[in-house]
Amino acid sequence: MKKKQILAGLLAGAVMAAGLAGCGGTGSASGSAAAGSTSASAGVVEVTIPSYKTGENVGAMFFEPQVERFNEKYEGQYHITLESLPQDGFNDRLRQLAQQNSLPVLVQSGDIDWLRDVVYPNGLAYDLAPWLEEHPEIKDLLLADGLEYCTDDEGHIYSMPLATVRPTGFFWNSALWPTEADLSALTMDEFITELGDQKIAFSTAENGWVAALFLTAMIANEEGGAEWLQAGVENRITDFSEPAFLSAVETLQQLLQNNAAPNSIGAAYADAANSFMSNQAAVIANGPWMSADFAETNAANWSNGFDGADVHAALFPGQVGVANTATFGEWFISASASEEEIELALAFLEFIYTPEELEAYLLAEGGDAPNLEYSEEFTAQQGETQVLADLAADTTEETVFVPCILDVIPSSVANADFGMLLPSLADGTYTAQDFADRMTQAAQEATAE
Amino acid sequence: MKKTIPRPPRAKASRLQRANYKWIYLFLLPTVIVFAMFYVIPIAQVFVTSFTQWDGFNAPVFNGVRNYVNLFSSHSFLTALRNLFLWGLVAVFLHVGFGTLVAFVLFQRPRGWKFTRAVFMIPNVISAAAWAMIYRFIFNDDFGVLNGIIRIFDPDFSVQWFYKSPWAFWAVTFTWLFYAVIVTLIVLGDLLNIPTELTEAARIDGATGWQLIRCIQLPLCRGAIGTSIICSLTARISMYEQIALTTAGGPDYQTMSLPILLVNAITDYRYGYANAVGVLMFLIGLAVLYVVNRAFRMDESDY
Repeated sequence: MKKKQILAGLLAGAVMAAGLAGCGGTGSASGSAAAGSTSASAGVVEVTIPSYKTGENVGAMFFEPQVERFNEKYEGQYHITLESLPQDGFNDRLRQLAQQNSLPVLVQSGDIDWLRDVVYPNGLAYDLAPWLEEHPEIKDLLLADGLEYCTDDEGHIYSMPLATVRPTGFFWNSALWPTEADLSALTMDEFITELGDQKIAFSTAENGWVAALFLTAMIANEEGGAEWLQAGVENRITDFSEPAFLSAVETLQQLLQNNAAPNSIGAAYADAANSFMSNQAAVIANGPWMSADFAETNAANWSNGFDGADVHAALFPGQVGVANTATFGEWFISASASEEEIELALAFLEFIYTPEELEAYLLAEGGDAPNLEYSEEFTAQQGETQVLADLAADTTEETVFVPCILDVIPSSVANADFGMLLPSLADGTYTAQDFADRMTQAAQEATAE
Repeated sequence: MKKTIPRPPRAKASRLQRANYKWIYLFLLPTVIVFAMFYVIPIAQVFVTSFTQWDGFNAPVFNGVRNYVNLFSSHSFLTALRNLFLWGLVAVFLHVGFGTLVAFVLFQRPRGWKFTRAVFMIPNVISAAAWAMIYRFIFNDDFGVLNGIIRIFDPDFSVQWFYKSPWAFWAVTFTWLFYAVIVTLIVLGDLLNIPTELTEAARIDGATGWQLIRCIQLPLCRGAIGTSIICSLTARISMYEQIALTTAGGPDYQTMSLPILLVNAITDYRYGYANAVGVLMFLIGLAVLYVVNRAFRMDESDY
């Protein structure tokens, strides 16, 4: 009997211990353990970092080979393995990891509010300022606005500032719309007249990305609109009664009613892209990274006689490029990483900021590195990709850079309310004033304390 | 009149029984700990932090009932409550009603009833998110099946079902309305458990088919129908995917729901506010449980 009792007691204890062990955290001392295992075998420092630029994601075409190039260069010393995560919810995943003190060694992005209000003030990121001082060849490449934005009052630099700017404009299919006009040099009214009854591939689902880009350009074309958008970088916009916004929304409504491609209402970005690449729309707004979709290698995704060679690109009318240079960069290093992990992370940053890698990046995804002296080979290759050459030609000192409207309004309004309100604007249920009122109401509710 | 039997006084535990207490408590301990870790503590945390301003990372700061004041002065929240009420009515009368009707039909064991039951089960193995995507195609204005059929009769017909008022509310409703197999299985289970003596006695007394259903079968399925209503209503309280993947709450908040508001608040790092929404969802769930339990006298035995 006594033995049975002891056995039962042991079993109960074992069940409890197993349950608690299974349910409890890893208890890992290393901050990077949960996000990606870190191991050092035979002198090789290996880390796993979560990334959305993998698999079918448009960014994977350049990023995955870039990581491979890094692994080859540092073979026997460092190795990075990518953990594939979907782009939707990627920032949420990072937040969860931060809450568990399990950020990966190298952290790819995260949304601005989270970085500014949570990550940097709480010491979760490694200070890159001393490293940048030791590497002037890298620091000199960085965008001045970005470097200033990323440097806090005490001189710390937690986010690796950007060296490239990728002004977003729009793509147009010359087979459907054989215009000879210099589109970015037109005013918005002239552009709409030139457009005639050509169709634009809009999207209203998700965050209404394509519509948001056009709206941003329209706001920037209004008097005081560019300044209003730029001011939103520091203080999120919660009042949409600005005349520039109202006027731009009226113009957007016209386009949605007269020029929207079939199925624009309720379309996600992928639907809009499909509409453009199946000759159902002559115009789509998107960043230069979309240039890869028009390469012959992507021909399997074309239909209805669409040919990527017919596609041209331009910045928006009024020489507006949607880009925010005063922002955080793509990478930061977790402060809880070990010394050797930090060495690996710094080596990776150094690698991706080499002129060769920056040029490769620009060739793959477009954009400009204002402080980089381009090689002749790069200039020649850039000219071979029609849309990148178009955008490079349009990007001049006259270009007005403005942040996308979605980046200067509260996150929930950008991710949910904006797209949700667009169908009612398109079908005429809302006037521009109604739309602005709803946006104001949503933004104020989202920021109520 | 219901007869209550007085409960006999509890006998004093013997020495042996008292000696076993420690084993009883020891074996209960893992369950109690798991229950506390995954139910009690998180729920308590949600309640406590709903009275704070909290970004989900830094320490919460007590702000009284500010989150609740903000909630009840929010247009989207009030619209979400109204939608929940309307969906609740649809769930009780149409969703559960349809599931119950199918159960009664299957109970008659018509030819092919087992096959029908299996087919009726199929939609349940498809996730709500997948159904939402399927319905986006069904209700698509340009190439959707529904408008395709309507255009046979009216070639100019055009409605964006998910994006046009008042259709959006019903379009979202259709993504779950007829998938009532859980209701059918629960009710059918109770129907099959009705003692045949009862039915036979009623028939001998001259009861017609309708009288049999109304006076014998329906009352004896009371508990199953109540359970189904609870399941259906709580599913409406937590309904997220069907809305997030179709209308995102629009147009004009006409399909807004409490979970959508909760997720939006988390997107804005307003965990205190999000938890206030969570608390209200919890309380509404409890109220549903209480009211349905009382209305259907679910704690009373039928046999």
